[in-house]
Amino acid sequence: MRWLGVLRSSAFWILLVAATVSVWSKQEPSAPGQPEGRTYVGTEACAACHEDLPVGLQRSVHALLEKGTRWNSEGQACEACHGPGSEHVEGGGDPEKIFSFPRATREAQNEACSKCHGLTQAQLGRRSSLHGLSELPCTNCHSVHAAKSFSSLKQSPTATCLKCHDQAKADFRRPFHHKVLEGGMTCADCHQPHGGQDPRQHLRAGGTTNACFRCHTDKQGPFAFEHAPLRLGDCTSCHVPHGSINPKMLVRARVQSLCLECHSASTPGIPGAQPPAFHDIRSPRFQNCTTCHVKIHGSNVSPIFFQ
Amino acid sequence: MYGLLSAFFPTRIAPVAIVLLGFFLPSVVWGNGLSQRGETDPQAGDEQQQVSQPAQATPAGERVWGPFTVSTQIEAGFRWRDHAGGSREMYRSQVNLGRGPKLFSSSLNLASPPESGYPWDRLRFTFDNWGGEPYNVGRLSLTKNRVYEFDFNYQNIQYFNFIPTFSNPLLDQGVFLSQHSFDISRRLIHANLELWPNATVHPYLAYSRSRGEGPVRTTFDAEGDEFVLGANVRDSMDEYRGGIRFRTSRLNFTLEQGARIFKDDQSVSFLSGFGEGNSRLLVFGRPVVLTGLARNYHARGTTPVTRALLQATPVSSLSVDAQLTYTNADLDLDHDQTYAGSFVSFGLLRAFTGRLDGTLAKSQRPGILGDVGLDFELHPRFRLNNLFQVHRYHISGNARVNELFQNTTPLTGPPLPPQDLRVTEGFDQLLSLNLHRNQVMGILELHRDVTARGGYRYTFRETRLETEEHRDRIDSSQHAFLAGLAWRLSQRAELNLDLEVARTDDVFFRTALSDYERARFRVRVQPFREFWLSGHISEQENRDEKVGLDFASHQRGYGVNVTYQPSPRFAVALDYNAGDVGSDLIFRLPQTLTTDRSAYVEDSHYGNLYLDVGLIRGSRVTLGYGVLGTTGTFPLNYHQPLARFSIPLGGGISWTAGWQYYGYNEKGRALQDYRDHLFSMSLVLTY
Repeated sequence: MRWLGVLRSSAFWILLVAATVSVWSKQEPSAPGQPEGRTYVGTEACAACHEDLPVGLQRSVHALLEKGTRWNSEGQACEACHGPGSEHVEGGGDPEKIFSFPRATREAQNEACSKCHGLTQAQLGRRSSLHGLSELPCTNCHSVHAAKSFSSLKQSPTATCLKCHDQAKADFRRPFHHKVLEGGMTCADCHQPHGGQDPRQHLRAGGTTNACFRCHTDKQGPFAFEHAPLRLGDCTSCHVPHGSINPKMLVRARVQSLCLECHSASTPGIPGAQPPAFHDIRSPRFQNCTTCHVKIHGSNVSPIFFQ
Repeated sequence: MYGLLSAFFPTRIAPVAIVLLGFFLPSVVWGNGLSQRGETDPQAGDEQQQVSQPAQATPAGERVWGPFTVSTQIEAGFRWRDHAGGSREMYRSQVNLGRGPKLFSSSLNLASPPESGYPWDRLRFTFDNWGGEPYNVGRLSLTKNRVYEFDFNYQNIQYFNFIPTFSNPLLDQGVFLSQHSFDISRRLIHANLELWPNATVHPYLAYSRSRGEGPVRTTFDAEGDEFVLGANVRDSMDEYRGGIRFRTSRLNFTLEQGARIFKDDQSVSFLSGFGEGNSRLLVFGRPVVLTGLARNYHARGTTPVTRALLQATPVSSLSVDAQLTYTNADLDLDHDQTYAGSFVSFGLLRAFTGRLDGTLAKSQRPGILGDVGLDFELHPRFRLNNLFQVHRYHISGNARVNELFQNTTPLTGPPLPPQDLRVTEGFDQLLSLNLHRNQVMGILELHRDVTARGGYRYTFRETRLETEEHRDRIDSSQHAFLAGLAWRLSQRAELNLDLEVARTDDVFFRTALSDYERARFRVRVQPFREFWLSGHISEQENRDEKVGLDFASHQRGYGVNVTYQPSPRFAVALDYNAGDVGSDLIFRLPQTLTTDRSAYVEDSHYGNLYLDVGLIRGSRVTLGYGVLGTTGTFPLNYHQPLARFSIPLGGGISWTAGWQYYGYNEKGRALQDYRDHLFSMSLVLTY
């Protein structure tokens, strides 16, 4: 049954693959190539008009292009990305006669960058990630000309992410939060900004899909007695990673509000509700479940997570 | 338009969407500003400079020092704290910024001429938040072209928590002691070294360490009573990784072998003076008393990790990304505990005066995590992306517990001489997951600036949880339909819309995503060079209407950010964000077996105003005010006004003075509030 479902969802592209093979060779590359008749003119020719741009270039890793240490671009750093510039120069700076990033499609922009950066581990899964599927251009975050850092980011790493993810920024202002705005960590400590094939572009740790285990290693287990939601869902089954009004960054303000959502099933046999809470939860003594169930992430001693 | 938006968003959100679109559409016609959008958060560190001081965004400019190009910036000073009221422990649990000399931030960039013979081409070093701060960070990055790339990160984070809890043995006496508190310092190290990074075949080495250590307060539970225990915990994880990369123009293949070594040591003892517990109730006519306890806990684990990564573009229209990780984690535990006092065992129906426990436990988790992504460019304007994922593991755990009850006497019947009883118990648990997921997505460029996408995701989960008492097995299938739209116009305006609808035939735990709809709308607009606006609306509705379950939850959020910066000498920004979280379920009261309905409601509103003004001779004043208020099940408010003033002294030095206030109040809860003022003075050296 499960394989049937997988195959069903895959059938569409399998058919398309066969149809596509025949036309692959006819596809024009979207990234800047070397159109016939265009030749390289060198960075000095570019700087004659674009005086300020090579200065910004020097601040970023792209300064290495000018040395041509790997990409055979010695003295042609600008044209390594924009393609040969002879027609552009002869045309009096005609922007139609050179690869212009603002004029190119998102896909073409990214392809231009991918010529050098595509096959790197940081880019693994880029095209399947949320950023990749929405065709987020590299130039949204990076600037070769106006780089503020060696990694060519336009702003600091945190500011770069929060420029768009303003809901996350609001979450980081909640009373209990990971110290991202304070500089204690960055978004990239948990997320892969370029790719990653997890829904939230999480980093992975120790063979799990949970980035949390990179730091919270004591929660990783394996435990003799596992708390199933942690293992089968992920940490976000119970926690809000960015910020919460709960001291333990739970998705509910009070502990018992969260625990009883599962452990109070009214119908016997509903999975995940076993065992249901038998305490008198109207009593304040029983309203903080983790007072007794201390090892709620998993225990090696107690099946009911007492120690 | 209103009807269209109302179809996706609740009625009260639709007007916000119209306002945002109202800004978005005209901006397509107006303006040609290309400046970056900055940040306006009073607590966001360098983000402020993006708004008010664009000229300083490259902090120091760059100067030549011998053969090196150098830029550096250091901010150091002193902070004072004035506690104006409320709980000091609550303040420490949340903010924890203290008094004393501080190195607020420092950075050094050193570049040598390429191929110059120096040991690096680029050196970057940052050292932030030192001097008793709760989160110290140090980062070092060294690069020598074609020879090596080295990154080193160090973080030292203080986790402090001392928040009053309900179950407090001294609550009746007015002592608000947390029974579950900790003051743990966690130090993290990540180091990565790539050798000969430009070579076709090159090795790399990596090392990570996470170590947590500190005092903890926890509890010992005996027949519904809790006693306060003191503990010292010390856990560490060392991860070693090494691998080889093989990289050509069309292929990047990495093979990596690593191992994680985990240690967890805890020593726990009874804190004298708290032997009466937090319950005054007699159990079978006897008080429950703890007079002494000693517990030792030693866990050791190893996790070998083998990983293979593949990226390939066999032809220009096809790219392949794949990764496969195999792990086999195991953990061994040695645990012993001795305690004495007066206790009752419901299981044995006996009273006893002491107990010796010894536990040996073992668990193992072999697993595979893999995915393959294929991306076909079928047409210059259309591509098809398929992602297949598999995640399989099973965790088998067992524990053998030997218990020796000392001086036991029957609770009922005629009195008998005390005797020792030995009990041996064994527990076994098996938890397994077998997950397959396939997602196919078509991405179409409708126009140079407009991209639409649509797809389908199928997920199959086989989940098993087995113990001696019960066996659960759930096979579930989920069908999700996805759609999205990205519209970007000349960097002046950008709109993103994501929709997801899913149906699931079963879930393993009650609150998991079952039948849900998810929508997210985001817009950024810059109609004029000096003015930009962004906003977002998001919503997620989840429900499981199975008989006896009837669970529904929702999570909504919307926000607007407006910034106006007519000149480098003046900037004003306003943020507003609102959120709405709720869940609704039926449950059965165990005492009466009657069914009732539980509702959780959390409405939150956050506003932030920020003003930055340049005064005479380069001096600046910054004012900000942030306020969070929540209503519903757990009402609270949180205020954070601030003011900052800086004067350039010349020679690349400026003087800064600042004030920030933290006011936190959980409405109706004693001692769960605080009011603290922070004053700081610092010198900023820029070179």
